[in-house]
Amino acid sequence: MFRRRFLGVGLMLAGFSRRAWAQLASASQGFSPLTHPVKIPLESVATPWHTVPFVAEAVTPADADKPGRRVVLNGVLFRKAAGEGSSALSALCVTCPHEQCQVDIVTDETRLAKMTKGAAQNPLFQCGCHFSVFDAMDDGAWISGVAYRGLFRFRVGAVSDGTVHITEVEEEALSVV
Amino acid sequence: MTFRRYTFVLALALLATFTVKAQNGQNGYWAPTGQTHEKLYINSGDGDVNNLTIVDVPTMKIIKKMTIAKHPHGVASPKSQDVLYIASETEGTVTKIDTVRDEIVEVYGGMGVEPQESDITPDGRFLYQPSYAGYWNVFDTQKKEIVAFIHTLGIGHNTLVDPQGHFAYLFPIKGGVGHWRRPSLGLPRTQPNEVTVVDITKNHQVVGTIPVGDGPRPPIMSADGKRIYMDVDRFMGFLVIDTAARKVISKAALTLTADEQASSADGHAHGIAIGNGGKEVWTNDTRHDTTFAFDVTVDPPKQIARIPVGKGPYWIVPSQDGMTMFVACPASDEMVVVDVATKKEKTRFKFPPGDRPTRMIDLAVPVRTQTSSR
Repeated sequence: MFRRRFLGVGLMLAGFSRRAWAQLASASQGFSPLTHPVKIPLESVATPWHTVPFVAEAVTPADADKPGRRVVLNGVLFRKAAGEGSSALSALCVTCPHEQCQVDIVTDETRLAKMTKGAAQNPLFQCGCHFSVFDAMDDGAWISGVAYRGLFRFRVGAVSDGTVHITEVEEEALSVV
Repeated sequence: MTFRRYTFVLALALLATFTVKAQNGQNGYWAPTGQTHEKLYINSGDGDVNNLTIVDVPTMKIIKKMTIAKHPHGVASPKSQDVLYIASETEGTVTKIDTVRDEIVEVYGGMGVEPQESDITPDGRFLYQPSYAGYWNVFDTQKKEIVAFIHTLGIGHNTLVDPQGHFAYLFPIKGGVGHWRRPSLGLPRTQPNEVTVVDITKNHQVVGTIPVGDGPRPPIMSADGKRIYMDVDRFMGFLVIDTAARKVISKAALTLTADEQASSADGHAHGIAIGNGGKEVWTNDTRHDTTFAFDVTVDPPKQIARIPVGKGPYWIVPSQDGMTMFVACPASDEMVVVDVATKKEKTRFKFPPGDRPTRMIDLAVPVRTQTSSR
C-alpha cells in the first residue's frame, strides 16, 4: 500500500516537475520583454482574422551585436479562433524576416487558392516584396518563399478586464528588424 | 539682329533637346533618334496573367496588358528601344518583346537558375543576364546563344552596362540564410561586398572590382557613365561610385526620424533613379513607404525632399525627360506617379490585389510599322 502511494506521489511529482520545467523554459526561450506592454481592447479583435495594428518597443539584449539599441516593431493582433483566452489570439510582427518588407494578411479566397495551389484552409500572411507566405493560424509559421523562418511572434501575456496585454517579443526579431 | 536672336533661340532649343535625350532610358542615358512613342512597361511580380502592363506615358493611360512568363524580373532594352527583354525568375527564360507592336517575338530558355535584373549593350548585341545561383550568362542576341559565363560568387542580381558599351558592372547581392535555401548549382557561395567590372570589348573578361563595404543593391549610372549611384545593405541611403577610379567617393544618408531609425537599423534603401537632367537621384525607403530625392550636384548629395508614396516602394524609374518618377509599390499593388519639379504625386495606378507590380522600364519606342531584325 505504502509502495503504491509512494509510486503514485512520485509519478505525480515527476509529471508536475516536467510540466513546470517546460513552462519555465518556454517562458524564457528566446523572448525579450517589451519596454512597455502593449494594451489592446479585447473587443477590437472580436471578429476572427481582423488585424489590429500596434507599435511596440524593446531594447536589444546585453549579448547582442549592438546591445541596448532601441528597436521599434510593427505588429498586428488578431483572433484566430473563438474563445476569451489568449490562446485564441495571435500577435505577429509584420516585418518579413527575409528582407524586412511588410507582410499583410490575405483573406480573399481566390488569392489564397493561388498562393497555396488550392490548399489554403485559413488566412495567410504574404510579403509584399518577395511573396513569402506565412500561416496565420499557426502563429506566422513559414509556408513558402524565400524567408528563412516564420514571422516573429509577440507573446500575448494576459487578457484581463477586457484588455489584451502584449508583453514580449521573440529576441531574434531585435537583431533582424 | 532678329535673325541672330532666332538662331540663338534655335540653338538653345536644340541644346535642350540633346540634354533631355542624354539622360534617357532605363539607365538614364540612351534613346533612339527620330520620332518616338513613350511607353512604361510594368511587370507584375506575382501575377500569372496580364502580368505586363503597358502605359502610354503622354496620356497616362493603360494601352495594353500582356501575359508573359511568370514572375517577370529582369528588364532590358538597347538604345534602339524597339525590343525589350524580360527575364522570368520562376521559368528560367527570357522573353523578347517587339515594343513597336507590343507582341512577344521569341522566348529563350536556358537562361540560368532564377534569372534576375539584366542589362544589354547599347547596340543590343549582348544581354548580361544574372542568375540567382551566383553567375552571369552573356547571351549573344544575334547568335542566340550564351557566349560567356561569369561567376561572381554571391547572388547574381543587378546589372548595368555603360553608355559606351565598354564595361558591364555586375552587382551580386550578399544574401543570407534565407537566400541559401534557394537554388544553387553547387557553386561556392561567399558574400562579396563588391561590384564586378567586366570589359565587354575584351571577350567579357573580368577586369576589376569595386569594394563597396556591404552587399550591393539596386544601382543606376549617370548619363556620362562617370558615376554609379547604388543602394547598399545596412545603409538607409545610397553610395556614389566613381567608375574611373573604381571606388566609393561619397555617401548620401536618408534623414529619418528616431522612430524610423529604430525600425530600420539593419535596413537599406531599395530602387534608385536619376531625374531632372542628372541633377537629382531618388531612392525608396521601403520600410516607411517613402521616396527620397537628393541633389547630386553637391558632395555629399543633399536631401531635398521626402515624398509619401504607396506601401513598400520597391522600384523607381524616370520618364524620358527625367521630370516624372514612377514608383512601384508592390505591397499595396500600386504604381505612384510623382512630379519631379514639385515633388508631388500626380496620379496612381491601382493593380488587382496580389499582382505585386514591381520592376518597370520606360522606353522611347520608335514610331514605325516594321520591327527590327534584332
